[in-house]
Amino acid sequence: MRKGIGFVAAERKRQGLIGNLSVRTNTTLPYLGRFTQFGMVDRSREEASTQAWIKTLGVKTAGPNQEIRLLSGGNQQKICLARWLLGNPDLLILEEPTRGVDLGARREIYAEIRRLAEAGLAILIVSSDAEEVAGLADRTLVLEDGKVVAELAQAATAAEMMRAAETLSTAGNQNELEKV
Amino acid sequence: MSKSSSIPAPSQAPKTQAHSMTSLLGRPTAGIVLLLAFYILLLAAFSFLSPYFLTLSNLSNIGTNMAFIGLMAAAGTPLIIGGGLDLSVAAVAGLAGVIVALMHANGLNIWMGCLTALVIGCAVGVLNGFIVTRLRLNPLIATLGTMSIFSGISMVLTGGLSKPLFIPAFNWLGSGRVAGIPFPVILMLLVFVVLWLVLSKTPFGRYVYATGGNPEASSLLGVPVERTQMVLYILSGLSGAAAGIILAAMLGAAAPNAAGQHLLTIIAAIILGGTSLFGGRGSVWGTLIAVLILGTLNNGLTLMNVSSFWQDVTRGVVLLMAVGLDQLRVRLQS
Repeated sequence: MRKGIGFVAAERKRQGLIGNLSVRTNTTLPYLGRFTQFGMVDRSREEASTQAWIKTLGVKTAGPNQEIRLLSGGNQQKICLARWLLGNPDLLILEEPTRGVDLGARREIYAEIRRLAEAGLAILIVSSDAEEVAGLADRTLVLEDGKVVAELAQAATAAEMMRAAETLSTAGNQNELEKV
Repeated sequence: MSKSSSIPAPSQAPKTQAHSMTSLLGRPTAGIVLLLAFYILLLAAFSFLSPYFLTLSNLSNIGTNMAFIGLMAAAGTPLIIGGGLDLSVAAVAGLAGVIVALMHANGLNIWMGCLTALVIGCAVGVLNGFIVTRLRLNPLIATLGTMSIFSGISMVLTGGLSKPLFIPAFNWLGSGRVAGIPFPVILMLLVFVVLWLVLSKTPFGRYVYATGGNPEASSLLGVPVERTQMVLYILSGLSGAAAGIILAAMLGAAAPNAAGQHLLTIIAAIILGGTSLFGGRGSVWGTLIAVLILGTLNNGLTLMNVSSFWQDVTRGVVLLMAVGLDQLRVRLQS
């Protein structure tokens, strides 16, 4: 976790958010050390940084001090993404990044993922949404029961993925992609 | 004319009123403000009802009587915010007094006894923390067990009898004054201020709220969940030992069961102060006001010659009303 790897979990409510704490607290938690001076957390710097991410990612919230449970799923997910970017990670792992996220926010999250990848960040997306993977991935690995069953080149379509998965019977495939 | 203009008004008025009430009650500090308002009301009522109530000696009486309870409630607050619970704290207080008395009876220096008691308080905290974080026992069960163990040990060590402790320097801890303020009150306030600073300003404080709010997510976000809880249990054990020393100094005796009866008051004060038993929410100032409310209630009712049995009833009613109100507030908020 501290080795330059960021992880956005699929189970947002259970594994991603501390619901009754503020947007600010949720954003700065993994890299709290960067906001700490002489053993004290610098709240105004936290607020400024959180406000900057709220603006960059277009998070709809009453402000950095609103409780995060009151935000919509898409806006919560943007915060889950933003908090890792504070630490300039080398690798970002996104698990089902748009589950329970509305269409508008989904588009914004995709755009941000694209932008980050173009800026040179390695991103690993684990997703069961073939369309999502097709739209984002540079490289796609199709997994079944923890084993790689197919590797598809750049710009693989959703249909190709489904075919690769279905030739090995059973549905419920997981597509994984990596892009640098 | 009066009809046509007054009809829309009533439907409008409650709406805006309800709205402003909601936003007012929705503020995070609203709970503490309400609590403080209730306390001031209580003070006013008792000053009106009893001429002895609003005297300096009576007020410092309330302070002294509540200080050792406040010490334990102060340390119990971050523990409950962090998702823990310590039922053994009052038993540790009893044990601490017994240790001081027995060591003194065996010719050891009284301050050595105090130090030993504090170390044992820490050790009980480590034990509680170990059982909860490593063995993953529910804190209610775990500390119910250690409570029984340590109150039992106090009884075994003393045969259930109180041990006298008359050493002026030691008794000063319980009855001494600095600038007119009782020393136990000063110590308690100091602990509250330090814990407030730690909770609201330091990364550790942030970890406490995160751990109590959602331990699984916190752990995935790099929060040292187990270490945080361990520290909180140690603080609680330490506060129990300190409270036990103060109480023994006040009474001039170590009574093995003197502190145990106050356990429910401690928990009640923390809950009354707005700390959620589910963790992640609360403040030490709420606890302080709640400690004062419970102490004042006891004192005022005693002055009015209300029997102590009725005092228990009153305390229960106040607690239920306060928690009910708080639930309502949280529901209005979302």
